[in-house]
Amino acid sequence: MTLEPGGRLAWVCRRAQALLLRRWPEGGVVYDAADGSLSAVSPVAAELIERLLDGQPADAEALAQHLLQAAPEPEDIDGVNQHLAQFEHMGFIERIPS
Amino acid sequence: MSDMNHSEDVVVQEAEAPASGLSRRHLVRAGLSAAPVLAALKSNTVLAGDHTCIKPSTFSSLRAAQMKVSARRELKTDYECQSHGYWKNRDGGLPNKYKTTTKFLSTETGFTQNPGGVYTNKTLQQVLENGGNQGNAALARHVVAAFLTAKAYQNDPSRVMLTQSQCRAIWNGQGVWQPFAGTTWTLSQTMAYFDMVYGPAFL
Repeated sequence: MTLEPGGRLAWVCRRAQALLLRRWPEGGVVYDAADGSLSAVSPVAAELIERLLDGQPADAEALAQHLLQAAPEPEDIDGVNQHLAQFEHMGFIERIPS
Repeated sequence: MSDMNHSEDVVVQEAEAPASGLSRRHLVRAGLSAAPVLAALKSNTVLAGDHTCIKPSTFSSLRAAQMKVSARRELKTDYECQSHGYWKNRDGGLPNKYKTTTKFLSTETGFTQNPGGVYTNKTLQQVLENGGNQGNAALARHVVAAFLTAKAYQNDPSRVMLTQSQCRAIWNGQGVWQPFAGTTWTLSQTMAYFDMVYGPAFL
């Protein structure tokens, strides 16, 4: 898939069948059945992953709004983007044109 | 697996309590400024999947290890192993009309066992098309598929999963054969191997 430079991005999890998330007050763990890996994640990361595991694409702004339950500011969106980049690196999600 | 996903608590919402004096925004920002991944544990092993084209010796090792493969171990899985379903409808790489003129029981194939007499005068194509399991037909379909694959690839052991002589040993022993020195497989072990490589033989 070709992504336009500067174009808006959304993120989607296409591997929900292979990922198992459990959450606790202190955070969560994600089990990836593809390689048997287990990752401990922060509470905010766990909430983001839980939202993405529904399989619906979302952009960083919508995800930040989901976390805050209020309109996000640029620094909130930046923080979400950093989390999403990490999830992408781990193979949980992929980016698609928004 | 996704339906097992659940949250036992919604941490951020919980932390919204006014008594804490912290707004949800502050808490989320604090969370976003921290590393999302606190620790990662890589498994040493992964499950070997179905339809993996491996040699009998590798299958034997995997069975002993509950079909788990060390993450650092490289398995050669790119042997040629076209299934009976493939060969039923194709003849690429074979001599002209080979499947339809070569008899299953013949000097060309070397197959001699004829349980129940059901293979008398049958061609390789007819054996591929045999349904059910009369006369060990499920094994026969797998063996013919492996034999034709070996034929199409010049019986090159570096490319094919089973050589023609191994196919003969399997059929003429009715599934009881020695895949490698010192080991004898039963029919059920042989079928388990074929089922992993090809999928079930559709009895």
